[in-house]
Amino acid sequence: MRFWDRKEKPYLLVVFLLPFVWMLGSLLSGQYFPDPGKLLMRLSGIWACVFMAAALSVSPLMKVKHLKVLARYRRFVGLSAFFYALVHLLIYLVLFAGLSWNWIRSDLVEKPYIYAGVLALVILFALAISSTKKMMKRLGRHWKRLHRLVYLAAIAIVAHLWWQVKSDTSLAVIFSVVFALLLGYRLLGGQKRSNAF
Amino acid sequence: DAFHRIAETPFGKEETPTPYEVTTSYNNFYEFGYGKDDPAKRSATLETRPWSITVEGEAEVTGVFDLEDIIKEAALEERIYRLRCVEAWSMVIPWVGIPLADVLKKFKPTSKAKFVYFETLYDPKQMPEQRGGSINWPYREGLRIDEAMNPLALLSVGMYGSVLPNQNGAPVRLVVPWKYGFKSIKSIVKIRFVEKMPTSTWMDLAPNEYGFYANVNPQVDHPRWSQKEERRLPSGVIFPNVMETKMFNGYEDEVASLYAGMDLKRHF
Repeated sequence: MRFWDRKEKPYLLVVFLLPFVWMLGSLLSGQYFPDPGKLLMRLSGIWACVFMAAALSVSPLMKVKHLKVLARYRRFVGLSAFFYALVHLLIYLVLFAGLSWNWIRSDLVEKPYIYAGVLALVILFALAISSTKKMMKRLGRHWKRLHRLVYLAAIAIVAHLWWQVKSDTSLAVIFSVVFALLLGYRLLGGQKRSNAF
Repeated sequence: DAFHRIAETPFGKEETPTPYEVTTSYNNFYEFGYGKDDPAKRSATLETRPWSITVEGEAEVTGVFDLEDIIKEAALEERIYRLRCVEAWSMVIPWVGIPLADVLKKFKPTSKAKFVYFETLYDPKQMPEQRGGSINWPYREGLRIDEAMNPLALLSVGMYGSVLPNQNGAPVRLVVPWKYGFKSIKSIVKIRFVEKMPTSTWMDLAPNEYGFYANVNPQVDHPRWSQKEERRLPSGVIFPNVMETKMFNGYEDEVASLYAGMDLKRHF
């Protein structure tokens, strides 16, 4: 069991940062030429969804006898989802829209899927800053209620995906199925009732 | 070969063409896959010789014509045009081709020919993604007859002084520079003169997002993103080259009269 000792967390951090490092390296070496903004926006979004799905998978997996140990890393996985969502936003602002206020403002006017994404990011931000032990104590029973917003964030992400489908629906379908399974598991009482919505 | 006598034209002399590696590696040509690099990687299967085009409908001269015969007697021109994709990126490409009007007039369209309809090759053996079902193949496009006869509209058979690479729509494609890129249909096998407005592939897929006209227009946003600005490719390592999108992609002088009195917000 030594391998799962908390001292391993820095190594875990490195693993979770691998997609980011890989994207950054590819960007700097010109792999995303000639339109890195468009490609990276998609990639970073995919990774945010992957970590989100991983975070939501922790509690169902904890039911498996030898995987209870995963509980220690749930916060870590959740923070990674927030990190990749934030990177996704920064890529939109800088690499895609070139910090052009004109571009961003007109996107904001009638692009509903941006708001769905922003909603998910705001929720993940709130969960990230309230994820410390200190905040857990301070919020007491409200902490759990607050952190159930993660389900709303998952729904917002699914809306964010479907709203922007051009013709290829594969990504939207994959993550809709994954999130529907993870949320459905909770709805169907896979956990104690008090732990569900 | 006609490529030895390409006439220069004043079109786009002030523009800097996008590097060849960019325009041949970043393409939307869904017949070969949805990724931007799929067409370059997967289009080697396309057989462009011999190539025949079927001409039918409201015209005096119809039938099956060999592409070689169509361009053999024509004078090829080089025209440097801006290409604005509906996805808000843009390029500058030195096309080689024949004014579309010159080609169409040879078929003597009748007074009933109000529109021209175009079709891309349908052959899943050559175009692997046509096996997929999300698009009703073959790809279809259309122009109003006066748009097709406008001197800017080009039937292109080459770029950068040579023949079209497969991923760019070989061996023959449309170039309609004042409209979003998807109007410039690739690998054309059918031209039909019709009386009623044809339905294009994108109108069929999402009628609320893609209209028949699809003129570049910064005043009419796509329902899901802005059309006021564009990224002129290639982007820098971090920062894209963002610029304002111009009405009719900057070809207002040449084409605005086609749409006099039309509500372009409704006819998008």
